[in-house]
Amino acid sequence: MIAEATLIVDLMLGALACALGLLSVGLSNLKQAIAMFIALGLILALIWLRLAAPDLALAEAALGSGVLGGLLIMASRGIKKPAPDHGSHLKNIAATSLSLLLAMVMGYASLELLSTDNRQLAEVLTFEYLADSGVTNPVTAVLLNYRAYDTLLELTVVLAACISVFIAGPQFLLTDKTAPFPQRLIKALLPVIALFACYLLWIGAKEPGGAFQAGSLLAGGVALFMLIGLRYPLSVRSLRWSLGLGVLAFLVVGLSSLLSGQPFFTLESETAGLVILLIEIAATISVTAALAALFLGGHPQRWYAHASKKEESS
Amino acid sequence: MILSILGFVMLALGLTFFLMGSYGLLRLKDNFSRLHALSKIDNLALGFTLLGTGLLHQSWLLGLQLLVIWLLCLLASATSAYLLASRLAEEQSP
Repeated sequence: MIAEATLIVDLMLGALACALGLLSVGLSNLKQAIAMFIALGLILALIWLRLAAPDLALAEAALGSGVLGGLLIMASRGIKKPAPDHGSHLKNIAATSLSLLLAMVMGYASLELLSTDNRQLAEVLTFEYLADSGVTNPVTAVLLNYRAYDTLLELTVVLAACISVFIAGPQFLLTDKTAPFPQRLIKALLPVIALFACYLLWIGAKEPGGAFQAGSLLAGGVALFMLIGLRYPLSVRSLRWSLGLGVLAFLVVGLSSLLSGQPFFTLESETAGLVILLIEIAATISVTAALAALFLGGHPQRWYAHASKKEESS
Repeated sequence: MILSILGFVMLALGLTFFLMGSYGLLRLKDNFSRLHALSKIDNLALGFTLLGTGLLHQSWLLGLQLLVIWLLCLLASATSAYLLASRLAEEQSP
């Protein structure tokens, strides 16, 4: 009976995800579409849980629903009612058939991925060498040891996005009036958020967690902090250093192994755990700074101009 | 055995309150009333669901964790309801 019940829940989750996806691209009201997208992020997090991938579920809930939802809402503020664009028939047919083709290819690829031979290979590669990798959580081992190059490139992409937003993005303004109730509440809640982010970072070596989850949680905290009118406590230069810290740490570790004659980013078994922890700390600081900066938009100089204007007027 | 049955009853109650709250969200006319329905969902329905889950697993540590989760959800929903309501009040009487 339990098996049928879980099958029903899985089918409902899948159907709900498809429906929400269709609604979020099909609705013409922008705010409704964004709400559907945020709900889709939540359903996807549940689906990741059902697929026994709690790390992905954490990252999806924090980034997909939380940060991305906030970013989309902020971005939709500046958009007036968009002109209804029906497109030509040919364009619609081409887009639909391309999407169907892509869906079929991805379905085939995921079925292939789940075939026994591929699975065994992945399990052997991950679990047999897990003891030497320095951590006991296989996801962290893959992210920060076996495929560390990918994580380095991810951090670089986030940094590049931040720089683009600094140069070209509009300023999402902080609110002028702050009610005392949310201020006191958020001031009380922020230590809890910080503690939980540190816990997620530390436990990433053993259990689901890690740098990106902790970073996105802390970025949410920083965004709350600035949304209620409190002043960003650090200087612009420290913001720049925080943004670059993740990539810097990765490059330092990678190049140092080049210096000792081994390929780029080789970790020794004995020191791997400590090195991974240090890289994760740097990556968390980077991700926090980057996501908070993306959320607030514009150049950091203008944040302080706004804050000092507020101080003069209040 | 008793605890498991009680757990299922709590889960069923939680589900009922979720359904009632969602129905209220869809069918109530005013935005303020909808906020009221949402807060009810967070209070009652989530509380019953977490209570049922704790009873089904019968572990003190899990029960304590679920209690903290419930309290944090209450805090978050109260704050967001307050913020939404104050924004709605601003828009209605400028």
